[in-house]
Amino acid sequence: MRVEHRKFHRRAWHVLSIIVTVGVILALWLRPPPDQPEPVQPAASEAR
Amino acid sequence: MSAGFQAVQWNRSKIVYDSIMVGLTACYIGGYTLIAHKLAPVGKTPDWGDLRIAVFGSCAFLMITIILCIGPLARLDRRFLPLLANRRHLGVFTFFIAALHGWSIVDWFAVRDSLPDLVTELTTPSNYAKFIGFPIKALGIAALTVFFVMAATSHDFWLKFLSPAIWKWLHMAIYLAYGLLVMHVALGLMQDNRSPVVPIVLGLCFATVTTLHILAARHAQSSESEEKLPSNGWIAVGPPSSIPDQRARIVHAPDGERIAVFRDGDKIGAVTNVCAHQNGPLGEGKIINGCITCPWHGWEYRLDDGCAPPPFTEKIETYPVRINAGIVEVSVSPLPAGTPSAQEPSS
Repeated sequence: MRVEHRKFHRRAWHVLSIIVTVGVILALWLRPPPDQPEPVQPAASEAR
Repeated sequence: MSAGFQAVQWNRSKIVYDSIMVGLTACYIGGYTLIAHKLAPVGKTPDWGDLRIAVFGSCAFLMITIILCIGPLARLDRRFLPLLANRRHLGVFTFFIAALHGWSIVDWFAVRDSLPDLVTELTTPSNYAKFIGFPIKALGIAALTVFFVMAATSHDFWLKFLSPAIWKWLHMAIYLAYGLLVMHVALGLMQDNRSPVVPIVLGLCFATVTTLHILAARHAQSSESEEKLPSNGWIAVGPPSSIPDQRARIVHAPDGERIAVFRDGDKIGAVTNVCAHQNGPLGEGKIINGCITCPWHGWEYRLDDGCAPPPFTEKIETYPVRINAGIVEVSVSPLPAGTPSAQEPSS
């Protein structure tokens, strides 16, 4: 690589890695809770 | 080396490389499909449309991760250099796997007569203002576009047409594409699939790529910090014996460019560290039959004058060298490409 490539490469990699790390952590932190399963209703014949 | 247009100049090493690449990919796709069927609940076969999306997507992501690890690994340990030689083959093949993933998604919507839903998801402006709920397919399309441009310009024809410097700028977009892909998974699969496997694998892949790049950068910086500053326009390299025979020591000019100082027996010469082909690190190569050989793709330059051996016409910059009180010194001012400059201690 030429010196310009190396300088850009070092800066871009640092910036990109910070942005992506923050993005992944936020995606984990902010993801909605899993859907709760509905309670199972007893069958009408069993109730009698 | 340079010649008229040929799609691929096949040789044994490329055939072996590609065979291993295709074989490992086939094993991954076959193994993933088998395991998905084994893990499916009894009496319920996995939907082939969903499985296709998952297998091609995960395969492409892992391949991109491996591609991004090859560069720093080759800088840290020379044994990984064979992986670097035909990395572009791996890149083009990865594009095709990623394109199959994209096509599988479009097909999934088409089979369900839901293509308008896909279009709506991508064209609703309010979706782009969300973080959770961001249209991940847009991230995927952007990354796939970058991969397409890289695959389409991977041939040496484009390297010559665009010049190595511009070609390299274009291909550094791989890092942007990888960031888009990580977010594509984080905002997509990781939201729907609550298994800890997804964030663990995603985090491990990203951490591996990042860590290897940091280690490679530190390795390069540590070699820079050991050097002496130039005096009167000359950098002291060391005694001739400090340069391994048929190998080089790399020193840094004040402008940041690197100079490779080679020794071939008693002859010492200095050239730019940058190969004319793809800007590979010549100083990490070796001298074979009197020619400096680039470790990336084998391009050759004579130690005497930096010219490629006939019939090839490439030239690289050379630097004046001298022996001063038993110490090899190299000038920080380059000579025009192709200028003889190699020295022997008796001269």
